[in-house]
Amino acid sequence: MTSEGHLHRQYINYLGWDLDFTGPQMVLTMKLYALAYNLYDGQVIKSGKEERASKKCASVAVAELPGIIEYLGYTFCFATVLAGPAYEYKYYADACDGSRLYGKDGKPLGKIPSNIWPTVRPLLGSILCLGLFVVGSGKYPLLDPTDPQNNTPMLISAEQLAKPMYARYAYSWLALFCIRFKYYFAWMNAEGANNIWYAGFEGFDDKGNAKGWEVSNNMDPVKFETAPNLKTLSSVWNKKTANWLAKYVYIRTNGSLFATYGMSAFWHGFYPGYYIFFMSVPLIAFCERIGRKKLSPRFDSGNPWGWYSIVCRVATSLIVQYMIQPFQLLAFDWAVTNWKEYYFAGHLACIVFYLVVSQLPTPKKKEA
Amino acid sequence: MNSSRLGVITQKRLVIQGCDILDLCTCSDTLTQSLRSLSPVPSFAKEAVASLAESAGQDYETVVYLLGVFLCYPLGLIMLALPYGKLKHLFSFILGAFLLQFTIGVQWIHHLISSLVAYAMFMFLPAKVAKIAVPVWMMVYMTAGMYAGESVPLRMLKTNVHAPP
Repeated sequence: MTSEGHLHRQYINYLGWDLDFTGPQMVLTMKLYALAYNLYDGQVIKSGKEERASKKCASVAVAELPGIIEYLGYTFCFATVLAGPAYEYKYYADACDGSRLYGKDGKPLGKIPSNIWPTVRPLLGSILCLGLFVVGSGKYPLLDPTDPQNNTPMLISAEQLAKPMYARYAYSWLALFCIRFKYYFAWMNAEGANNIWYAGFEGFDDKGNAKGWEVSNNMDPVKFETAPNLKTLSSVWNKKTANWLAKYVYIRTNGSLFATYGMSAFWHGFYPGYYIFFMSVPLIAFCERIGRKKLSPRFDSGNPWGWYSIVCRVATSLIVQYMIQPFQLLAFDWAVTNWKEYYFAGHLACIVFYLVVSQLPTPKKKEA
Repeated sequence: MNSSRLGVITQKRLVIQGCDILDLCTCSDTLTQSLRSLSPVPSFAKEAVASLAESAGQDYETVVYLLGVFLCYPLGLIMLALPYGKLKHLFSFILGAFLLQFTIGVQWIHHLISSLVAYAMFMFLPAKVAKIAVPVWMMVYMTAGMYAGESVPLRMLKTNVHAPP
């Protein structure tokens, strides 16, 4: 009986949430990193200096250092402290003093929308994702469930390596697909917890129309899973981290992709797998660039569900799932062992694709 | 029989948390003790969670995390009901600290320390310097934490850390 319970526990709890302070600390780092620039932008704007980056981020600039209570309220904000989303101080402050809903005269700035559906929808979605994660990852675990102590990745276990390449790849695709629902769960859940007190509400435009609930939205699972290219894919995954990297790293380093991916890897932790992944991403980006130049004008009908688009969607998913494997394996030798077992097929495919497609004549641009 | 077993589980968890703190800031035992006694989460809640975890076949951390994230909804209702202004800020902080204590235990002290140091930087450094200094401070603190604490990814790299002796 006891051993049965033990097995059950091992099976269910293959990758429980091991909690420590690094998760919340990662969120806090984003918040304060952004706040440092928001305060700087506030100063720049106040002094009337011209700085392109500050101008771009003017809507979230902070003119004065917040009081200690406001500051701690932001850094400890219960709705974002565990899993994010790390939105800027301005959004938090406006939600707390009501200035996103009401004008200075106390009158509403527009017709205030109900918060019920924006709260219930992500809550239900998160419960669904939790269920899918538990069932899916139970069926296709990423780490060896029979050996929880060592956390050996299934992808490079002897049992998996005995299988043919396509079967191994199919398994890894499914395992990674299922594990993503853990993130979908945590982020959707946080979205509802912000929307319930209007922290996720964007406010009103000049005409008094409600804008939406993007502030707390951190991802779009459907868009992510069916992304036709890398840009769409990365723009709907962990949006607030992408927003942080774009506003406070990318545009502040004169658009350095290297600095941005480097910072992203640094922020995720000093694990070789992250660097291997982030440094492999440009390979896909090069292929996409050449494809967009040489192939898209020939084949793209503009229909988002045309055959060309579907090919792009499938190709994106297949290549990204291959490249992202080190992200879950983490250790350098595990990542390399894993790729070696595929004979670096994904890398080779990228290089071959690039070499072949770059030889095609560039079609003339249609009259815009 | 059951209650004594639960006691052991709860205690084990506390010892683990104590160790993390010890590793990280080389605090003395007494400081760890006093930090522990500051805990706003009553012990009966911990026992209840431990028994829930046991019956669900999940570990304590998983259950506590799940309870924690769903707890955000009633806490959100409290926030909604509060009047606009300082009170909302104050409660955001208190509820957040409670939630952290509930989920990650006394380690939330790191959250406070790094926030306060960053605040001092904002106060005393010019904005131009702070925009570099604060990000560097946060990155270093976070990275140090990943190494010193046993973060999930790091634990996956080490072998046998939790194997029985």
